[in-house]
Amino acid sequence: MIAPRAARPLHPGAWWAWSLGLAVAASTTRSPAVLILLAAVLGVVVTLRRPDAPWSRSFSALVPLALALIALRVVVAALFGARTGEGSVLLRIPQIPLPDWAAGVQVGGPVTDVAVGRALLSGGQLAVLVLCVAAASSLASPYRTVRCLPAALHEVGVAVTVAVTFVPEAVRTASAIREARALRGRPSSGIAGLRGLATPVLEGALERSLRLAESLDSRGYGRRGDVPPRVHALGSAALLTALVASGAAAYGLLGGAPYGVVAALVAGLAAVLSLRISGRSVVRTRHRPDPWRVPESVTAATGVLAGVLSVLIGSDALGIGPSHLLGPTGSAAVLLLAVLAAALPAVVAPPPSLSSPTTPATPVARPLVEVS
Amino acid sequence: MNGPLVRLDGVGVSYEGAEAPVWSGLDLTLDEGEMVLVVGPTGSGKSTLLRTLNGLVPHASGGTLHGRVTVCGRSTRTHPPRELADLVGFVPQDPAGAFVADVVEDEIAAAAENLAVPPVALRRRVEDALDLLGLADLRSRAVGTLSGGQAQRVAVAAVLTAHPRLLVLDEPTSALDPVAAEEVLSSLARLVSDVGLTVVLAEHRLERVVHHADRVIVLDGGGATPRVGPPAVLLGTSPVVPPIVALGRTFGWEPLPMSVREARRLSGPLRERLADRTPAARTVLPGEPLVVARGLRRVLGGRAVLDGVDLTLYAGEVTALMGRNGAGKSTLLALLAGLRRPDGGRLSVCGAEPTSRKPVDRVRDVALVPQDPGLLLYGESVAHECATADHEGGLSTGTTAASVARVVPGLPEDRHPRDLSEGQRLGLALGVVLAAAPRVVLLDEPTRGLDYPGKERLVEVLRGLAVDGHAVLVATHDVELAAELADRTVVLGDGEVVADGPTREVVHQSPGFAPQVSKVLSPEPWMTVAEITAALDLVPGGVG
Repeated sequence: MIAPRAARPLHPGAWWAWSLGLAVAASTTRSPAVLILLAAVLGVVVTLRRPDAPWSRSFSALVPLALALIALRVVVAALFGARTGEGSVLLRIPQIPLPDWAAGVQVGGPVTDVAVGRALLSGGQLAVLVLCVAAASSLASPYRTVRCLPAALHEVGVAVTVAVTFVPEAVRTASAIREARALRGRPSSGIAGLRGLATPVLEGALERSLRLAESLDSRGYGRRGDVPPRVHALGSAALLTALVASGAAAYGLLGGAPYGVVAALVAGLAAVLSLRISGRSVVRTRHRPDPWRVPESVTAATGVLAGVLSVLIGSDALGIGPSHLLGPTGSAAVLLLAVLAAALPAVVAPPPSLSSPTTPATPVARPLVEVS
Repeated sequence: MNGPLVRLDGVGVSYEGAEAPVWSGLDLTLDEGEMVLVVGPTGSGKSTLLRTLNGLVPHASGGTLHGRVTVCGRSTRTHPPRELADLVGFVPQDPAGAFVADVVEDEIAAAAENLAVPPVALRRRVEDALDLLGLADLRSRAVGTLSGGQAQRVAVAAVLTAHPRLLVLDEPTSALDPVAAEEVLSSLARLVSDVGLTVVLAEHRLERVVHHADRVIVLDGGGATPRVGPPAVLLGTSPVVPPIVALGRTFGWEPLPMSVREARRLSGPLRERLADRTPAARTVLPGEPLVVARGLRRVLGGRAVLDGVDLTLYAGEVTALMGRNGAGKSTLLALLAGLRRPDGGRLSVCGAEPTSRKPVDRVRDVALVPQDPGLLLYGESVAHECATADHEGGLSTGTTAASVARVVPGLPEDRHPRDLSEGQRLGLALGVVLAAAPRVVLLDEPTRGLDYPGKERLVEVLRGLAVDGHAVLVATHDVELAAELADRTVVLGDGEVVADGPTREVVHQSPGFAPQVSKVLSPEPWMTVAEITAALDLVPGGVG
C-alpha cells in the first residue's frame, strides 16, 4: 500500500528526460512489440498523471495525428514504394505509366507484405515519437518548463508563453464568435458555421498576444541587469559568430571538407560564450523552484534507461517482420522489461496538484443578500 | 528620494492620422500616498493617460508623446516599461487576458522574479501579497478558473510583489459585482494609507470610487487640457457625476458630499421635505408571460451552475438580473437565448423550447446582446452590417437600418463597427438583433465601459422597448442602472434565485445592491435623484 502523498507537480525536467529517453528508444528500436508497448506506457502515464489544464490536452489532440502518420506512411508506401520484390504480394494497384524523365519513380504496382510491414514500422516509429513529445507537453506545464531554462534563453520563454496561450485563446474566441452568430440566426455548426471565422479569430488571438506581450513588458520581462553596452554587444557578436560557424560546420562536416571540425569547435565556443554573456545580462530569481526528489530521479531514470538499452541492444535484435512480433530473444526481453518499467512514473510520481477548472470556486464567506 | 514621485511636464499624446491630440498640455506631479481618479467620457483618452505613466505609451502602442514624463527621475522616453517595472505596477483592463503564468502563485511571483528579488525576500513578498488581498486559499488555482473579482485581486497582487511606488489601474471594478468591487477598492485604499503607495485609476462608475480619491483628473475629450483638482471642486461643474454628487448639487449641499456618510449628515432638511411624499409608482402593466422557466438546471463539470431556477418574464416589464460574479447570470441568459440546452427543468420562450428551434427562427423570438457586443458585428461598415442582417434574416431591405436608427440615430454609415464608441457599438448590436422583431430582449452587462450619457441613452431605449411590449432582462452589476431602469429585480446566488420582486423592495433589503440615493435616504424608499426631483417638482442637476 502506498502512503497518501501530497499532490505536487513533478519537476518538468524529469518528464522531459523521461519522454526523450523513450523517444530515443522509439527511434532506435525496430521492434513492433517495443513500439506498441511504448505507446501503451505513454498512454497510461499521461492518463494517470496529467493535470487538468488547457495545455495538458495536447496528448489526446495529437493521438489522431499519430494514427494519421501511420496511415499516410502505408498509403505512400503502397503507391510509390520501391519494388524490391521481397515477400508475397498482397494486392496489385494498377500501375500508371510515367514518361521517361520520371524514370525511377513508380506509381502503383504490386504491394507486398514486407513493404507494408516496413511502412507500418517506420510510421509507428514516427507516431511514437510524436506521442513522446505530446506526453511531455501534457505532463509538464510549459510555463514551468520555461522557468527551468537558463536565463540566457528567457526570450525563448516569452515566445513560448505567448504561443502556449495562442491556441486555447483562438479556440475560445472561435466558440464565442460562433455563439454570437447563432444569436444573429446564422447556423453555428457544420461547414456553414465555419465560414468567415478565420479573420475574427486570428484578429482576436493576435490582439490578445499583443496584450500579453505588453503585460510581460510592464512586469519587467527582459530587463537588462547592470551590464555595460559593450559587453552586451560582445554577446551579440558571439551569438552571430556561433550561428555562422555552425552553418559552416554543418556544410563542412557533411561535405567532408577539412574545415568542418574547426568550424564546429569555433561554433561551440562562441555559443557557450554568448550564452554566458547574455545569461549575465538577464538577472532573475525563482520563486519556489520545483524540487528534485526521489520521484523525479526515478521518472527520469526509467526513461533514460529504456533509451540507453535500446541503443545498446541495437536495432536488429528483434527482427522486423510481423512474424517477430511475439518472439523476443533474451536481450530483447530485457528491453521490453525496461520499457515496461518506464510505466513506473504512473505510480511513483505524485498526483498533479493543479486544481481542475471545473472545481467549484471556493465560496467566499459573505452575505449576498440580507433578507430581512 | 527627493522630489515628486511622478512628474508630467506639458504632456500630450497624439496619434498619426488623427486631427487633434488625444489631450495635451498636462502638468501634474504625484506625491507619495495619493489616490488619483481619472474621469471622462468614453474615448477621452483615460487609458492613454494611464499608459503614459509606465511608458506603454509610446513604447508599446506607438503615438507621439509630447512633453516629459519622469517617474522617480527616470524619463519614460529612455526607459521602456520593463525598466520601470520596479517603480510602476500596471494593471490593465480585463487583467485575466494578461496573465503570464498558469497558477495564481506563479503569476503573483512573476514580476518580482524578473526584478531578481532574492529568493528569501521573494517568498515573503508573495505570502504578504496573498494575505493582503485575501488570496491565500486560491494560491494553487489555475488562473483560468478564477472569477472576475478574484482575477482582479490576483492582478493587483501580481504587481505588488515588485514593491512599486505607483500603482496604475484601468477600470479595476468594471467587471465586478458591487461587493467584490468594494473589496478591491478598500484593499487599494489600505495600500495608500498603510504603505504610502500612490494609486492612479480610471473608472466609469464614479459612485464606487470617488469617495476614496484625493484628487481627480477630468478629461473632457477633443484634445483639451485635462483639469486636475480636488473631487469636490471639479465634480461641482463636471458633466459626469455620480448620483450622490447630483443629489448634493440639486439641493446645494456644501461642501459637496463625496461619500454616503457625508451625504447622510447633510440630508436632514431633504428628509423633512420628503417626509409626506412617496416615490411615483411606475405604471407597469405586465402583459402576458413570454418566458416561463421552471426548475431550470444546468450542470457544468459536476457542479450545478443553475439549480432549479424559476423565472417568469412578462411583456412590458424590465427586469434586472443581479448576483455576484459566477452566480450563473450569463448561463441563465444563454439558456433563455437557446445557446445551451438545460440539463433539467422546463423552459418555454414565446411558447417554444428555444433549443428545439433553428437559429434563424429563434432570433425572431428572443435576442441576446452578449457582454462584448462587438462579437455580434462582422460587417465592414455600419451600412454593410445592416444590409447583411437584412439579407440573412430574410427581412425587407432597410428594416435593420431603420431598427438601428431607432436605437442610435445618426450613426456614420461608412464607419467600421470597431471604430465606433462603446455606446454606439452597443446601440448598433442592439438595433441589429431587434430588426428581427423579437419579443424577448436579453442584455448581458451592457454598461461595462459605458459612460453616464451612454447609460442614460440605454435606459431610455430599454424603457421604450418595454412600453412597446417587449420583455427585457438585463444582467448587470450596476446597481444605479438597476434602480433607474428595472421594474423588477431578480437576484441569483450560487445558481438559485435568492430574491425576486419589485426593484425598490429587493435593493432595500440588501446593502450590497442598494444604490447611493437609497443608502443616503434609507430607510425611506427613494432610489434615484430623478424620482426625488419629480416628487418635489424640481429641475434635476441645477441648484434647487
